[in-house]
Amino acid sequence: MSSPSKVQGSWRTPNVASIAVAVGLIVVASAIAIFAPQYNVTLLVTVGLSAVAAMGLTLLLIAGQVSLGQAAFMAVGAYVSAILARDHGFPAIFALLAGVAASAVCGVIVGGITLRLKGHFLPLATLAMGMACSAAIVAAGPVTGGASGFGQIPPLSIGGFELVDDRAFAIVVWSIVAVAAGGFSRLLNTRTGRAIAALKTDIEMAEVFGVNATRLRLLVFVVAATLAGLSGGLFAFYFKFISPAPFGLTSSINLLIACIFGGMSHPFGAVLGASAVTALEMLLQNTVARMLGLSGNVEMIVFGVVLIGVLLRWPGGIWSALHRAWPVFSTSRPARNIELTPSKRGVDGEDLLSVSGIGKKFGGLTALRDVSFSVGADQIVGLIGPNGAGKSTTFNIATGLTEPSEGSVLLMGAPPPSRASDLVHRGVSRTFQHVRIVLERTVLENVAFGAYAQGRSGMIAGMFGLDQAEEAATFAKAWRALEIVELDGLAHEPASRLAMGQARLVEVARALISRPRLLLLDEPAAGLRTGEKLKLVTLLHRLKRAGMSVLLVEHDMDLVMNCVDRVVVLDRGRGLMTGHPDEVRRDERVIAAYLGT
Amino acid sequence: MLDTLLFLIADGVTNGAVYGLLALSLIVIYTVTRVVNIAQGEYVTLGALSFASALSGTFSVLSAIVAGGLAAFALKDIADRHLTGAMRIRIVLSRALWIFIVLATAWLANLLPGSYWLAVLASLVAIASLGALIYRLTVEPVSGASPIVLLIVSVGVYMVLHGTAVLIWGAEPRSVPPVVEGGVQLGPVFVTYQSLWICGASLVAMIALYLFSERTLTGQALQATAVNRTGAQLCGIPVGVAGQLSFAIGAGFSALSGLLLAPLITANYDMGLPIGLKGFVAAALGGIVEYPTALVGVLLVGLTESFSAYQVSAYRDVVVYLMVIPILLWRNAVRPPETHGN
Repeated sequence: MSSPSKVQGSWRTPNVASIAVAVGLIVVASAIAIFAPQYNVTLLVTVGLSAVAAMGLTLLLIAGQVSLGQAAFMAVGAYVSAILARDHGFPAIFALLAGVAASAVCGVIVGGITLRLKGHFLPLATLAMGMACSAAIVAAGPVTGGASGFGQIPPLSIGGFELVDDRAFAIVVWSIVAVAAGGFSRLLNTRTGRAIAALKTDIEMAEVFGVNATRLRLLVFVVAATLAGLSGGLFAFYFKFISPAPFGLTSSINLLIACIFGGMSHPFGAVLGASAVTALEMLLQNTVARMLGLSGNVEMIVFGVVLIGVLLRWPGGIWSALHRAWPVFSTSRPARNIELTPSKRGVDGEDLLSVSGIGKKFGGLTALRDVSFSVGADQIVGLIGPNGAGKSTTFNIATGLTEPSEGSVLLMGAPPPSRASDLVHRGVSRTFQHVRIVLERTVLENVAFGAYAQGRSGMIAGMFGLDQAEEAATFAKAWRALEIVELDGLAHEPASRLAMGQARLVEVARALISRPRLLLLDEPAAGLRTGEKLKLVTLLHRLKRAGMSVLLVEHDMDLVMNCVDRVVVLDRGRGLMTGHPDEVRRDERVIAAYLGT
Repeated sequence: MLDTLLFLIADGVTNGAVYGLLALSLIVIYTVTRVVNIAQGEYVTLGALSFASALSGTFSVLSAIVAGGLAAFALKDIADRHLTGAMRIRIVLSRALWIFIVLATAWLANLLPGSYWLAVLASLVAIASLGALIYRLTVEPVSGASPIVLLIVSVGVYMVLHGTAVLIWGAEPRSVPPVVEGGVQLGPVFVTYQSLWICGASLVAMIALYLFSERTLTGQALQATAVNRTGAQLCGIPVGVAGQLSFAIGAGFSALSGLLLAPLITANYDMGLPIGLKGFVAAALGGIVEYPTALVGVLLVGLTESFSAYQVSAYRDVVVYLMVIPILLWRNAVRPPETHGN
């Protein structure tokens, strides 16, 4: 609220912190690996391996998905690597790569099939898949060694160098942990990270700004499967013996516990969780088992209680305690002023949106009949009507979300795209009737997400900082958009603290930064105070002058009449009239529809 | 050939009847509380094992634990400052009666070892009460959470119950006697009486549940809660009680299926999870909300299981588990589940 731009010391950013923690992880792990006794080195490797797999699962959780069968991908990585290296004479490193590739392929297949499942169906499907995988390993005895497994897996070797030393192995594993954790941590605040957060909040909203939701969800799922496969492959080469037991349901659940215990909102949570779970395991084995003579069951009960307790009382896990020390993401306001003008100008005289004779039937109910109107260049058109008049249906048909039963729609001279994620490439952007913003992120990041379609940098670029020029340009635009809606003072506030009216303006800013030629506003004034409404009217005029056309769906007659060039009045599914605000205001049919006869 | 076919069908139908009870339990619990209960199979295990120990005349530790839990919650409820004296007395009396029933059945079974129906009663009362307790402990505090969180919580419950079962009864399997020994020759197929009992009990339980939810006010209240939680709450239906009741019914049905199935496979601590998952596959066919579709589901799962056991025996479980994926995909396309809360 207070200072317009809280520019923090430039070294205190999540990026720097990510690198620092990653380096710290390597240093600490190396120190333990070199100086600790043998037993602890084995422990270190075990924690590292489960951290690698847990990190994939955390990424999945961050994207709003859950898998209860993650250990199955570990099994694929382990078994493929081990069988190729032992029985088919593959050089160990190639066997490992093949194992990782196999789990990635399995991720593509399983993800491709199951990711269309909604809600709790996805965890159920992955649970069944994991159980099936364990059963299949046991059933395929001749190849996999069945329930008793097999040993004599050769050591991991790269070229002529054999990685036989446990201590060196631990350092290799923890280097992978550090690179992956640091990379994913950085990824959260990049173009792809913002898209993943948007995906978790609302898939439809993410798609409107150009995210191909199916592809991104699949990408995350495959990354998680690949990391699990890598963890499994390394497991096989480290222990040189594998059996179905470490890849069963219990492992999948333990991974989930590690993620939730450590904190499922950040990749470092996976590392914390994997360490904490192992520490707890050791503690239980050393105290309960030794002192009371009780075996593994107590461990299971305690883990169950931990899982329930953390979810019920402390949903953020360990990470939430450290979160306060983690730097808040911020970027400083750019010095030069950039203009946010529409990306491309249309042909003069061509209508941006033209709707002719559309109708929509839902079963026997006719929601909409014979509605026609158009939105030309540099125009603000208002679409009004009482509740149930068909405004939302019209809006959805105009953007291609709903297929009309009759009539046709031309958006920028062509039928609406079949995929919502193509809308933004046409120069169309929108806001939502019920505000859809990412509450956990800052206002600035929410706005920056709007520029997703203009960016290029993907996951790898985001993880390793190859996207800095693009990010600078994106945030320059985001600052500008916030200045236009006069919310630049709140740039670094979390979006959850916004009042309704401010949140709606953030949505407008987010739409602006995608530089649309046509802006569709779905009831932008709902929940706004009078002063805010006046500001909105001023803003709309300003956008129009900048060369933007607006289609405004609104309840509030006064607001519409004050700012539009043309009004389309709907009543009971029909176009009542179209005309200049003054004509509409005087029209008896409109008065009747609004005030009753 | 025909004999084999008939045998497989009889086997499949018996399995299906067991999964049917499980599917019903899952549906009752899911519709009322939105919990996809991964722990459901553990009630099967606990039902079978506590039945076995009640029958052999050992006082079930589980009954004592359950009674203790009930007492603790009774104390917590009485401590509520907003209660009037009359309400306090009502709570004390009703809870005392509940605890008394749990302990009395366990004690009677202990006094008269070998009495079959007493042991059944003791086991069912204990497990159904345990279900209600689990609801109060793990679901009520987060009843507004998303189904995914509730699902993960139930994974935790699974771990606790599973570990507890081993702790109390050990890893040794226990043999459990059937209701009646022997069987009957139906045409070319020999069917054990126990299989008939299982099918009969399933049928009775389903009819009873149907009558309960259609004909009684409490059943109607459960249905109302299932349709719209907030709405039910506004109408004065105690949603928490409805949740406890659904968990008690679900746990009781699962325990029943466990103690009926036990004679056919021997009771052990590991029996629950696979049965629970197969119940899921069946329930999933109806989206975990529709009873009639779930019945088709249980027959499908039971028959698939017995036929694949015959054809590709080693891969039997693989086939059954993987069945859930096409079923979920189909269900997802027909009517996807809500993504947020209720």
